[in-house]
Amino acid sequence: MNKMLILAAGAAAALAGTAAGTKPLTAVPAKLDPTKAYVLVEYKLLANPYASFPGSRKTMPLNAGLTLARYDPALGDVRGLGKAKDNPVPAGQLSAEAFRNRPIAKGADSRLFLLEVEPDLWVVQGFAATSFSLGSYSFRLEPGSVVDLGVVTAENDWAEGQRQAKTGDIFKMALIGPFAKHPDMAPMRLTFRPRAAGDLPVPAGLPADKLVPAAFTPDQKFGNHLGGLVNRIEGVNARARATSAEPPPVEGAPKP
Amino acid sequence: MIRTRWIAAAALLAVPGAAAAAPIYFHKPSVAREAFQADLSECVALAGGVGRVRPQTVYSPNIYAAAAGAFLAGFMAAKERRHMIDNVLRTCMTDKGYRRVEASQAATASIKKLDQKAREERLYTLASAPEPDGKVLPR
Repeated sequence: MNKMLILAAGAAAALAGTAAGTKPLTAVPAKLDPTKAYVLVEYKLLANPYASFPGSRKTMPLNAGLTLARYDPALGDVRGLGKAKDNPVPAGQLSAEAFRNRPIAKGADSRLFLLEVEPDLWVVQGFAATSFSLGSYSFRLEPGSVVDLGVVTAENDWAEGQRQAKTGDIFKMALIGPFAKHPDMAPMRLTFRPRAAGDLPVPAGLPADKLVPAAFTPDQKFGNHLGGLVNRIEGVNARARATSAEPPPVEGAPKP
Repeated sequence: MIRTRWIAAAALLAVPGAAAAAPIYFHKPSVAREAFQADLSECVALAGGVGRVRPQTVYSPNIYAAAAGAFLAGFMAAKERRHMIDNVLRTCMTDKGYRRVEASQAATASIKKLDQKAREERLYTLASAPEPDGKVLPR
C-alpha cells in the first residue's frame, strides 16, 4: 500500500511539473473562465489500519488521489496513449490530471478539491497507482460548467484469502528482512455518492446555475498507463464476494 | 501482436512463478477458444503495463556494503514487480469469470514435455474442461 502511494506520488509530481492549463484551485476564482471546465470532488480520508497503535492518527494523510484523463470512447483509450495514440490532446495540454494535494476546503475526515481543466470527455483513470482499466466511469465536462463528482471513498479491494498486514507482520518483516513473506497487495476501489447534508458545503462563490452533478457512463476500458495494479472501479473482488455463494477461502493459500 | 501475446501468456502460465509452488492456470468451463485467447491477451497486455519498480537503496561510503545493498534492493524490486504482474493477471481474469487452478502434478509433467504449439493447445484444453484438473484456489 505504502509503495503504491509512493509510486503514485512520484507520478503525480512528474506530471505536476509539466501541467499547463490544468490546476487544483485553493480559492474560488472571482470569475470562472468560460473556456475551461471545473470539477468539484470531496475525498473521504482513509482510516489508518494501525490506528490502535499508541499515538497513531485515526485517518491516513491524503497523499494519493484520483487521476482523471481525457478519454476517446470510440478508440477505447486515454487520448494520445495506447489505442487512442492517433487522437492526442492539442499541444500544450495534458491528457491527464494527476492528483495534487491542494484542497480548497478541509473537514475533520474529508478534503474538498476544485480543479480547473480543459472541457472534454473525461474518465476516472485511477486512484493512487491503481488503474481502473477493467471498467471505469467517464463524464462530460462542458466549457464554463462546474461538475460535481460528489463524495469519493477509496478502499483496498482485497482478494479472497488476502488481508492488510498487521502490526505483528510488520515487526516480523523488519526482523527477517528480504526473506520475509511478501505482504499481500490489493488494488484500490472507489465508491462515489452524491453530496449530502453533513458533507463539506459547496464553496461560496461558485455559481449555482453552473453547478451540475456528474453523469457517469460506466464500463469505460483503457490500457494500464499508470504502471501499477488494475481493477474495475467498483472492485472486481468486492463484486465477486457479493455474488459468490461459496464459503470463504482458507487464509494462507498459495498466490499466483 | 495478439498471437505473440497469447504465446507469451501460455509460456508464462506453464512455468512456476516466483511466488507460486506449482504452475497455475485459469479455468472457465466450456470457454470458447477465441474468447479465451482474447481474455488472456487483454490481461497479459494490462500486466505488461506494470512499470519498473525503482530499487530503494541507502547510501554507504563502503563500496562492499553499497554493492550488497544494491543487490538486495534490486532483488526486492524485481520481486515486487513480479507480485504486481501476478496481481494484475489474477484481478483481470477474475473479472472475466475465470478461477485459478493449481495444476496437478500429472498435468504439469505433461505440459513440460510439449512444444510451444502443443502447450497452447493443452492449456486451452485445461482451461475449458468441464471440471478443473487440480486444486481450485481463492479468486
